[in-house]
Amino acid sequence: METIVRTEQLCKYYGTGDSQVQAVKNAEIAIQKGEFAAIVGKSGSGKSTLLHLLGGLDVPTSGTVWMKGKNIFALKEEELAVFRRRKIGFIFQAFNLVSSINVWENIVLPIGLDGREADESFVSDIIQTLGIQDKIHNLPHTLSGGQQQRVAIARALASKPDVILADEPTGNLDSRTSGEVVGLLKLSAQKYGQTLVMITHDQDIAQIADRILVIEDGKVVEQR
Amino acid sequence: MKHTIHGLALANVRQNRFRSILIILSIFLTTLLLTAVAGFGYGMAEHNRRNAGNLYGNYTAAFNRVTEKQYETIKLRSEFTHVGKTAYAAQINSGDRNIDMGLSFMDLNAAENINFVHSLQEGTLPQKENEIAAPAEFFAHLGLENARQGDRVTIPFRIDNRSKFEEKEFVVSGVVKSQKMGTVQKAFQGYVSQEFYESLYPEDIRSYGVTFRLNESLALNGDNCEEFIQELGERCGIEQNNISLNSMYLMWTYNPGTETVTTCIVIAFVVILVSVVVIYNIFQVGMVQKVQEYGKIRALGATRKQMRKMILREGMLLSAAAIPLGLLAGCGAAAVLFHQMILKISERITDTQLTNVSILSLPLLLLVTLAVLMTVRLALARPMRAAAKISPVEAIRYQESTSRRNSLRKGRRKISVWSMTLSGLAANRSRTVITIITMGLSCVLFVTLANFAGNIDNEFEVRRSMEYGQFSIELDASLNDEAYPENNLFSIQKENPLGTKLQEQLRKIPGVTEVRSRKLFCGENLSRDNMDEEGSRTSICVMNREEFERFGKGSALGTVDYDKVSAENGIIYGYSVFMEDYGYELGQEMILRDLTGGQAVYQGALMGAFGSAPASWVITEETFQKLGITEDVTEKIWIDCRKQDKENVEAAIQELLTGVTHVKTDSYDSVMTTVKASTHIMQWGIYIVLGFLGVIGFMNMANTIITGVVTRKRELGVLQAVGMTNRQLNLMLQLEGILFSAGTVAVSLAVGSPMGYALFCYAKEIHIFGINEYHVPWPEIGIMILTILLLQGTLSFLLSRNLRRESLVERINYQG
Repeated sequence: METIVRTEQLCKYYGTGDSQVQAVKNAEIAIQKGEFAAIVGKSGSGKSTLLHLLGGLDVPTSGTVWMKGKNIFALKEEELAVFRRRKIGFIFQAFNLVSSINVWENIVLPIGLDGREADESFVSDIIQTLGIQDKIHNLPHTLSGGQQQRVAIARALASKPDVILADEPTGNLDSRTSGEVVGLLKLSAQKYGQTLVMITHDQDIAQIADRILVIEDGKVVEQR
Repeated sequence: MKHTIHGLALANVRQNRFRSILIILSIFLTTLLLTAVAGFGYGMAEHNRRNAGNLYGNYTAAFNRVTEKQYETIKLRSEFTHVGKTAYAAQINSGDRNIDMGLSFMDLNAAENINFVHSLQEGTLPQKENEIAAPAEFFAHLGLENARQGDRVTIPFRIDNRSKFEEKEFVVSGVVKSQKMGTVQKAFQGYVSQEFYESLYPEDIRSYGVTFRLNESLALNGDNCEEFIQELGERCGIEQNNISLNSMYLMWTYNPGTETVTTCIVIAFVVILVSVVVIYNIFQVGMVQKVQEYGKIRALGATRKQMRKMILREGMLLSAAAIPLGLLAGCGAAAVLFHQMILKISERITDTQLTNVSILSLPLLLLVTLAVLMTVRLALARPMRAAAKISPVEAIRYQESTSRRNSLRKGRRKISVWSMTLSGLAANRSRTVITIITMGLSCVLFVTLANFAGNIDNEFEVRRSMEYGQFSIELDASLNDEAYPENNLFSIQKENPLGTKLQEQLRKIPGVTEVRSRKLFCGENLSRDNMDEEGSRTSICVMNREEFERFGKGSALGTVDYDKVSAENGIIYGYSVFMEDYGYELGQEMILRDLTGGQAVYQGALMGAFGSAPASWVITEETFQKLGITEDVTEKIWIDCRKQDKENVEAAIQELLTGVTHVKTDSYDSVMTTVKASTHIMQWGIYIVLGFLGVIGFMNMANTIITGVVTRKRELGVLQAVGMTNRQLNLMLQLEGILFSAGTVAVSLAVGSPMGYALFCYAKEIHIFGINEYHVPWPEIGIMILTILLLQGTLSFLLSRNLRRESLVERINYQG
């Protein structure tokens, strides 16, 4: 199988000397195309930092991240932004929808920023799959948490990225909704042939992943 | 609890550093402006009150054309004190047509009344029949360089145009300090004794100007003083139009500073208004950031009163930092303004030693402090109410940027940076509108005042006397000199020195681009007898279409349409204001005979009047042709040239005119210098106030843009996370700024232009110097728009750069 994301000696340290925090230490991971990988670990173990590094949101202290054979940190800032919107879909714990635009506009935002026309039938299909077809004109604040997260998922899927990075997408949801959202996320990723990397501290959710990466004190200690 | 509230307020001030700095700057600028205006106004009022006599003369009023008998009556009445008399004695043949010289007489009281006693540099006022006192330049023009007391000088003089010049030797009794204005105006007076004056004029034809003060026991005030003087004049047999009040002296003595105080209050009111709006908006816009925090404080048990107190305390802490600095800077600014604008002018108009006044007044500084505190308090009224209303639950739920009322948005199928920008502004509609309006309001003042200041047209004022080109040559002639008929216009024009020969020579001067001329000739008014002092002689100007239309623009009466007047062979009176006084009526038949050739007679209807024309009567070029006057009646020539050739052309003109008599020259530059001296003070005063208001207004804009970015830091981070490039982010922020700027400009023009036009009309009505024709002040508006765009562009750019200093992750995790 093709390796879509690979890290080499990836490190992220904050501060210096005694107060130095080693958020990610020499991480060596490889994620295959179409795989659903869950990253689990305790609070403060470095999960989010690792995910941010994978998505090029943060810059590593050392090491590299290869995505689709490209060293993403070798890209210039502008190129990285373009790469991100074409190849990566992000889902955040706090949904992070843009409050001034409606659901549809939020979903097609990365495509619009890329100057492309949205594939409307594809986007509508995602919306149908996620069950938010009645809400496309709503502003984000009128939706429930679960609905907002579905919109965030749709936004991540709409630009047909190769990889979806989800940072505790169920962290703000109740358990029933959490189950639904993860189910939908997995289903969609499979349906559209995307790789899914998800942070969670919920063991039940981690269990439905193809692979679990456990991170402890910045080190990826276990891969299953 | 008191400490807690104070502590919270202090913490807020520190936390919102940007906002605090902006508010401090706004309060500082408000204080500065108010102190400067108050200090300047106070200084001016004090200066004028204490120096009223020094500046405007120590007399209440003057009676003109007073006969010897009337003078005796005045002297006997107890209401008058310090009665002084002056009289015109004779004109002097200076030998230079560009210089007017004359002889006058004034007694000691008059000299004291008009502060003339301080003007003596050496010696005394003339006592004996052959004594004279005058400035050194006066004597120099008569051939006596460096005149000293006791020197002798021969003066050719005559009492009127009907007499011949006679010469008399005078002894210099005193040398008068050079009059500052006289040097510019090229007019000099010499002062002779009463004895000499009386020797020239028999008692029955003596005519005095009488200055006086009123007896202090009369207990008059500003309201009844004028009326009293009029009555008094009447009782002494003085006609009403021969009474002139020393209104500045009256104003400052009986009614000190009312106008200054009113003006200062109006300016202060405007400053306060702008500041209230700006400080309010800075606070209010910042509130959105704080709602949740205020909610938490409420949840922890703060009462509404305490919330209000906290906001007020915040404002007062910021005021405490800003007011002292503002007072200090304001006093400095007032001192500089006072020195530059008041003292320098006063020194220019008087030789008298002026009493120094202080522009500082403790009660006034306290008043300013109070006014600024009131301004802040007013500005905080709504934010305080808003903070008090926040309920703990609402605060925790609060989502900053979306209107509660809207749950749906039609939206667009495709999203772009442009539509993101618009959606952001639309979602915060009320904030957007309020900001645009408040920003617009500060610019409204700018546009309003620019409509006034920008229409002070130096060029126009200059072009009133120097109508075309760079230089002018004009015939220096009388209409009615009986003793020296060769000085009369019609005599000079028989062999006109400004004829075609000179015009040809002028055209040939290298660098000269255009030579224009105007015809003006002397006529005899046959429609009625002895209209004025010049007898029935009058001046008639010939205008082409362009000139005719130009003169027709201001305060015209009747028909001033060139074609119509030309077709009907009509005539236009030169001064619409005096038409009625001289008993002319529209439609009246006029008969004028040309005196140059002596043959041509004009006959036609009086069709209209110009506001102000170069001659009493104006006819069109076509009408002139019909008169068949063969003499060259050119009266004035204008020469235009390339700028770089000005000096050479001027020298060439002077050379051409060597030995030519009866002409006088002038230049654009010299007229401009005089005009600029009068207008620049007013313009600068206005632009300084405008500049300050602009800066205060900019604080508002800066706050809105900064708050807009800070409160959306997270959202902007998310946008970048999902693929917005730095360039797109820059573009979005710039577009937002540009939309704010466009709105601001639109509001300021929509409201400011009509207000400005009204102000202009008022200024024109009360005849403020240089105000004549309205034009939209595009240069000022252009500068305003460019400044707004530049400031906004720089701010957006800096903010966007500042934003990028934090990593994307930090921004996404930012908790407002």
